[in-house]
Amino acid sequence: MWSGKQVRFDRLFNRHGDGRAVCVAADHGYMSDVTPNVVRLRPIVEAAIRGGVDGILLSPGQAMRLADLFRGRDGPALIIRADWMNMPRLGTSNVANAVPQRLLFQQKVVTAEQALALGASAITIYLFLGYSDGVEATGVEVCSRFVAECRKVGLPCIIEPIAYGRKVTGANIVELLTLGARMAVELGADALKIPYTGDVDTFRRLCEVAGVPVLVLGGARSDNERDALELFAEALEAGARGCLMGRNVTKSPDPERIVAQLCAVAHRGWSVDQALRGEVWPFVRLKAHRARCTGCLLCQTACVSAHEQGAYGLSSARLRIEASAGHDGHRILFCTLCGKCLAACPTGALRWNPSSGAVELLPEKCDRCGACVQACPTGVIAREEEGWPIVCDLCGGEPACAGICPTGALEIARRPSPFAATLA
Amino acid sequence: MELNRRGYADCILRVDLTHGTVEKTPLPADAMPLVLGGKGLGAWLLYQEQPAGVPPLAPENRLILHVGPLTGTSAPTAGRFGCTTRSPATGTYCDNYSGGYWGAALKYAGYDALVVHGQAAEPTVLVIDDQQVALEPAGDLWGLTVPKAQERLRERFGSGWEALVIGPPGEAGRPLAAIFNGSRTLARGGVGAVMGSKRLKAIVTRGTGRVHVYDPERFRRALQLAFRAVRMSSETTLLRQEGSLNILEIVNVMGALPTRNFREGEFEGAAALSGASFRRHNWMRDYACFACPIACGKYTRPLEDGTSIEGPEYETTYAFGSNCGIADREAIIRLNALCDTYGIDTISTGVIVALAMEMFERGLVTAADLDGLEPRFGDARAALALVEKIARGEGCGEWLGEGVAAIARRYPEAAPFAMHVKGLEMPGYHPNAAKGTALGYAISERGACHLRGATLSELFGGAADPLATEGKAQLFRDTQAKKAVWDSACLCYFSAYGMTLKELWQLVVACTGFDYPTVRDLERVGERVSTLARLFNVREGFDRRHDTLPPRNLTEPLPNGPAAGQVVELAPMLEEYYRLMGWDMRGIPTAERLRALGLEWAVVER
Repeated sequence: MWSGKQVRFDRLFNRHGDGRAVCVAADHGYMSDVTPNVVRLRPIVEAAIRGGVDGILLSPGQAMRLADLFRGRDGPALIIRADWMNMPRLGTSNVANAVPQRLLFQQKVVTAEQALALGASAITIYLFLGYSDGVEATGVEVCSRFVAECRKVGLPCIIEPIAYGRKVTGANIVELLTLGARMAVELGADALKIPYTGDVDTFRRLCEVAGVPVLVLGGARSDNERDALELFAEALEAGARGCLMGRNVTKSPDPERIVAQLCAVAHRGWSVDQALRGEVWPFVRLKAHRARCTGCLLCQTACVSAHEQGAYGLSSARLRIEASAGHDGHRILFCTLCGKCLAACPTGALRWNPSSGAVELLPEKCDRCGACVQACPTGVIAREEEGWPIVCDLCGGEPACAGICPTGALEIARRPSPFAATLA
Repeated sequence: MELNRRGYADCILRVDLTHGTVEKTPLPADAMPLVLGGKGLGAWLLYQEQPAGVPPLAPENRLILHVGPLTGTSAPTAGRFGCTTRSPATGTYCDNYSGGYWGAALKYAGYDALVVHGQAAEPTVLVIDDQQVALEPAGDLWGLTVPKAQERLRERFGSGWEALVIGPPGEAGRPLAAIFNGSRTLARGGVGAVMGSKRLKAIVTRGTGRVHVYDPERFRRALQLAFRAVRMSSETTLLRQEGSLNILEIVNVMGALPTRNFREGEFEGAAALSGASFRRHNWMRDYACFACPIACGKYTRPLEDGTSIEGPEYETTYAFGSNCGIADREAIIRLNALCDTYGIDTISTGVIVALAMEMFERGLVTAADLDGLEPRFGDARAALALVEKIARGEGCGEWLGEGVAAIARRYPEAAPFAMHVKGLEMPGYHPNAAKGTALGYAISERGACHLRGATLSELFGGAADPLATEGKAQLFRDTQAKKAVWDSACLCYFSAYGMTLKELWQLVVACTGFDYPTVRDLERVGERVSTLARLFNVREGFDRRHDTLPPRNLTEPLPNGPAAGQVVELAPMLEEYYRLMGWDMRGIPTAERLRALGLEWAVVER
């Protein structure tokens, strides 16, 4: 009995021999809207497998339909969602088109034995905290029954504590999740699926309190590709043993790539940047998509704070958003690395910085004539009060403006070495 | 305490329009950890500096504009600002918040608050150019509509300036008058009339300074966590896709979409008014306020005659749409445009039109009373004609524009279905179908309001059964505290659809360095600030008698929908809330609770 559970546990957590698992949650179909990621699940799961996924969480019905994808000794581990609940239909925005319901219900769907017959390497079930005493009591009862069933058939049981309902506030959510983690372990969970608490310190405590492997979940999909990776990297740092990412993968335009990136972070120890880019970019440039700009000016305030420690403002930013009249959108004016300022400088005070490749001012050579300010075609070279030019240094290679842009209107792109010609 | 290294400018700009003088004073340093800024600062200044009984349109009534410690930083939605004054519509404490770009400009110019009082001899524009402050004549602007005045100011001042402007109803002291800031507004309670009563047509501002935070590295980290929380939220994604209108169909399915002057809670034309419909047929581009990663604002494609707006918001669409029985998007856009042009509140105007329609259908008024108009529910042309009259203050528009409470005084038979609390028209969630929200409307310090802690999470957060009253006093109390913290830090409440109090606490602590050891310590600020606002109202004679709802909510069961048969059982929720807040059964904060909140100076014998 013990060995059966261990075999299955290893299939999930030890495909790479590092005790870590990158898993995809694709069980949304029987709880939320009929979205494309739910209906066209096969190609998404296939893409996740190509990306190197370690485990996939499915509803029992999808597990039957997609059984062929789990074949072979290198196939991913199948995790079965063993219960159903209606939380996404309690009037929340996930289900704009479904009939909202008024009260929370949780329902057991399969037994551990049935899950095993479907080929499961593990099951997951919810444990609700904070909604009502009745729902919490039901959750405890359902969880303990599953634990007993799983033990009988040698199936790892993953419990997913959720803090949800009118008693949950920002003041108590971390404590509730930590309590839920420990409750789940006391009930007999072999591993946990749990939301990130938002920061490394509180999540580290949660992992320590749990004492069993923790899989972090991703939550709603962000348009910023970094978010899911950063969250995962932080969770690993805090002691998580992997992830169970749902919408950030299944709603992604390229599920294979995001899974490969998550795997690179988990199994190869890559940094978020390295995983995102697939390589190290020695030189970068800024790239703009005007149509995406909403004019929020976060790029300008981020630019100022990146250059003045702890200060936020708009004036003297190294880039500028210009609102044009009417409904034509905004103009994004930034340093395009055209080099006209270098050419215009009569004293040779401007050069390409050898490490970042950005424009650099050598103050000892500058006589503050302002020729560069005149020459700049985008007009983004500002001047300090004493007349020194303020040039974009690309923040040394990680431009803060693109880092904060919420819509991708400003992006970081790879740039060929500005020194290639010289070297040749 | 160096407040200017803690997110603040540490300066209050005081303008006395009667004497044409300007004074700059530091912030009340000891008070800032207690009230934080924004709403808290406004409530503190209004209660402490304004004597009781000042009429709202008297020169002595202060118009206080304020920002928070986070304003002007890169925190998500950190362009928010507010105003606090005594409302001409209700006689109560009244605070409003707006996005746009003016708030950041005020902060960068070097001010946490602007306190305007007195009355200028001539129409005036207040010019704040960093540390230079001047009063300039505005005779050429007086009488202009909002867009015309904004255009004239752009010509006069050029780019890099942000302007607050009122329209003709504000100049005339009308209780519907709003203050405009680009396409964004401080709309409720007639704050535009307070500005107009001071003969202040506009406030133009340019700021080139900086905001300094207490712990730069910790703040940078808190920013990262806050942004991620906002981005990884399906609610904010929906806000970007469908604006505030993303909720309309859900509210309708819950039976809580006020329809035909709150007679019903379901509207057959809801699909046509949904965010998805506007997105498909009318919207062409997103609009973001300063530092906002969400961008819930939407510009419409111009109609045939060139009419276009930034909007409509959910509240406008409910007020002129379902509540007037109108399912025509083009009509909603035109009604919204009319309100924006003259500078009046769309919620109150829509509720007035709906009341006029019901009164006409019931025969309480005739065409003779309404300048020949025969407004029935669903009649968009009549609605447009009425709004034009209200906006211009002409004919029947003169008495209609005084608000539904005033209309009910003129026609007492209309009182049972005049939808207001304390004189402020009701926003777009039917109290009979959402009991915690009903409690929120009844308690709200500025009259019927969905943004003073109303428990909207019961409708679209799934937090609790919306029809139950049990537990709602506690839920309202928690939501009210959270909302007051948001308004005091001065971020847009839509950021709270991604961030929780925990992320806000991380930002506030890193920005101010204040000693809030836990999230709950910040939550206490919210309770303190809401209590201060209550104290202002108590001093003006408001108490439990005014914490009530119209008879339509208390005694008239909803006829259909998921909430059919429901009325609001207010008293038990009210009393439980008073107990939780440590107020007596008249709704007055007890001396004991005031001491516990650090407000011992506000204890008086009553």
